[in-house]
Amino acid sequence: MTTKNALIGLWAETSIHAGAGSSVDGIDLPIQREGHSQWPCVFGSSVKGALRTKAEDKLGKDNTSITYVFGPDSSSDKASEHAGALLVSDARLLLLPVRSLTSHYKWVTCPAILQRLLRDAERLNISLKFTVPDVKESGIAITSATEATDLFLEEYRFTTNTADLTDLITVLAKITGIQSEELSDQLVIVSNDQFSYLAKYATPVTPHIAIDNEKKVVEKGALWYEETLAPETILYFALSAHKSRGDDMPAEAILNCITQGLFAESPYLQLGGNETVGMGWCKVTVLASEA
Amino acid sequence: MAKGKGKKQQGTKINYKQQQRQKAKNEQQQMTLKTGVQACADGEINLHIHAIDTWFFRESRPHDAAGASELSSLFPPPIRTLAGALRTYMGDAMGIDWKTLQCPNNTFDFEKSLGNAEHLGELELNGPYIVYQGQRLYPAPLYLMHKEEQCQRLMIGQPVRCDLGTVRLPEMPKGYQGYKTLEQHWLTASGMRLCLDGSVLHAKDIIKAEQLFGHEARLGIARDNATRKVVEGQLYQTRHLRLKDDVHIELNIKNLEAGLLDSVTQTQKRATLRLGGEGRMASLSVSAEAEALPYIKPRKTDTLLIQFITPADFNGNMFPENFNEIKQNGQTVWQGEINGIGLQIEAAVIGKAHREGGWDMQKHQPRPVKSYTPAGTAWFCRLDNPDDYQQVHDTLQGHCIGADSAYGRGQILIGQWQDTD
Repeated sequence: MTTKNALIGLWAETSIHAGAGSSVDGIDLPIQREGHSQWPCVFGSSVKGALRTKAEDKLGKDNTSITYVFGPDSSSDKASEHAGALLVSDARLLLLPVRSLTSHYKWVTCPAILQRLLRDAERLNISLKFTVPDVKESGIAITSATEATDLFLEEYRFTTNTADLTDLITVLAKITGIQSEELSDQLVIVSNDQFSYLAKYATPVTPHIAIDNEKKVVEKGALWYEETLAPETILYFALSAHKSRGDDMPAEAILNCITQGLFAESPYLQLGGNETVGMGWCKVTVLASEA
Repeated sequence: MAKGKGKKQQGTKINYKQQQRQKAKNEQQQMTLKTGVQACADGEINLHIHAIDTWFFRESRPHDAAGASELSSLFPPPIRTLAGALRTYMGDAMGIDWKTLQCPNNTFDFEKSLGNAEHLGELELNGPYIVYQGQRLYPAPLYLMHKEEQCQRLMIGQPVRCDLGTVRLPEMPKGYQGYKTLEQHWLTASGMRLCLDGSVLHAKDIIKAEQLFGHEARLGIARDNATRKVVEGQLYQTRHLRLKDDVHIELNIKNLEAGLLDSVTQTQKRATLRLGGEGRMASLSVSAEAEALPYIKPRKTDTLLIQFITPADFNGNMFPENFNEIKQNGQTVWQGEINGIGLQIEAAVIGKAHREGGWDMQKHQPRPVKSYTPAGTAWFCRLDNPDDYQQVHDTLQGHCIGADSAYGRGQILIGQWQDTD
């Protein structure tokens, strides 16, 4: 194989605001979303930028490994000498935390998201074995609870169907680092249509103001609405490493720069904006390919 | 006797081999007719390229020239971009040293097998073809017009005087108004067959761009990691393509050197490669069969439709350089030869120029932007020798004409021109 791959799980410990840059539907600062499904995501360029920032913080901006892995700095006169050896995918949604009257929150996903995870893992040569539960009907939610009951997600009431989700939960625990027992309590699978609605409208949108500190009043015109991905959101992204063009570092060494070099000691990554107010911190789990 | 017998036996053996080859060819043709799929020849593969998330093949405008507006993406991917990604992938598969272009296997000649920035060496490409729900699509002919679900073909009118001379121009049949061209639309193979046959196709055979991909606006910044601030003037907007799950790209590759073929076939499983702008990912798989190009049964006629399914390069001209403008019966036509077939082009439907630039990785600089005759263009031709039709079909169908034909530019299909004399 000329490439080495890894699947990186991200467990948001604080809210993430990876901004889309233009306002929609009354939200001044919406989050990034996939164009066709409108599922929240974090674009690959944002994820790569976050990885590079962590690497520069650790090794210094002028470290040659950084140049080989990520490519030369775009402002340097060597910007077009060679590309970076690391390909970074968008961070894709896996589990969306949704508020529930029945519990503190639930981790919600759908068959389409799980099927995409299987496809991504297969392509990255990572073996994930589980059966995607079949949920087509609206108002039905699959959980691993032992008895069927009513479940409230946002303003909707679902009737739960119980299923054996052991394999799925084992896989999700492996990708996210979340305890299986916790997943077993919190995991809910709804239909693709219902998930689309939740992914679009169940994300927090919060008003912000700026205060004039001298007068202690709100500054005129300084009110904006900002959308975020809630803490506990689970995302994942793919890394694909090639042999470096700069110094012929093999693909495995390039991948290790990230998986070992960046995350072995400190398995955290800050994604998106508002870093100074504590946003964007994710716990990282690395799942390397088998060959 | 023995000598004669030997000769007879030898002759029988040759005939038998010929018969076997002919039988295999016939079987192949029958299979192609039946399934629309044909096996790849020796040294040929059909590469399937899937998007992992978004793709971005930047239109030929620089960011700073575009001001604050966003740059959109070309679709399908430009062939040079695909060729570059493919050469890189194959070079990596052979373990090439990119500084010296030497391979651990000393017998592998990189430039001969895979070319350089200017040519493809022995490689020949065809495509890219868009594949939607498992079947190839072809760019909608530019003579095809639509109004909601209704389709109509442009007809070739009587000669009129214009800046090109006294030429026959395409025109809408009388009584049809408000029709528009089918830009950024594609046809299924069955739809294209109907078009080539001179018929009007069904709405179900037309695939719109929105069925294939969505646009995704992206806003990018450069950040100074030391100060944690956005770098001034480093804000850019792009429009990526998000392909639907049932859409991918196919590229047909011919003349692969044996070692290269083995290497690609062995390493292709779950391979990921960088494709296009922003280092987006693509995954590859290889198959040994490909969908046959749409064709119609040859029939005896003196007119011909030449339909382009990929952009063609005639060095900025409408027609190949060996075509000369002549007057015939007071009408301006363009007389010339394609692959030895003499013909006159009486009329053409040519769309807006297809513009492509690209990046020269060796020289670290952009390639000059060039204009190409767009896919969907059609020439309406009259054969010098009507008896040549079968030969015309064999000689032209699926071939590439004009410059850069190794890149698959100017690939043509042969159809019937319903003369509207």
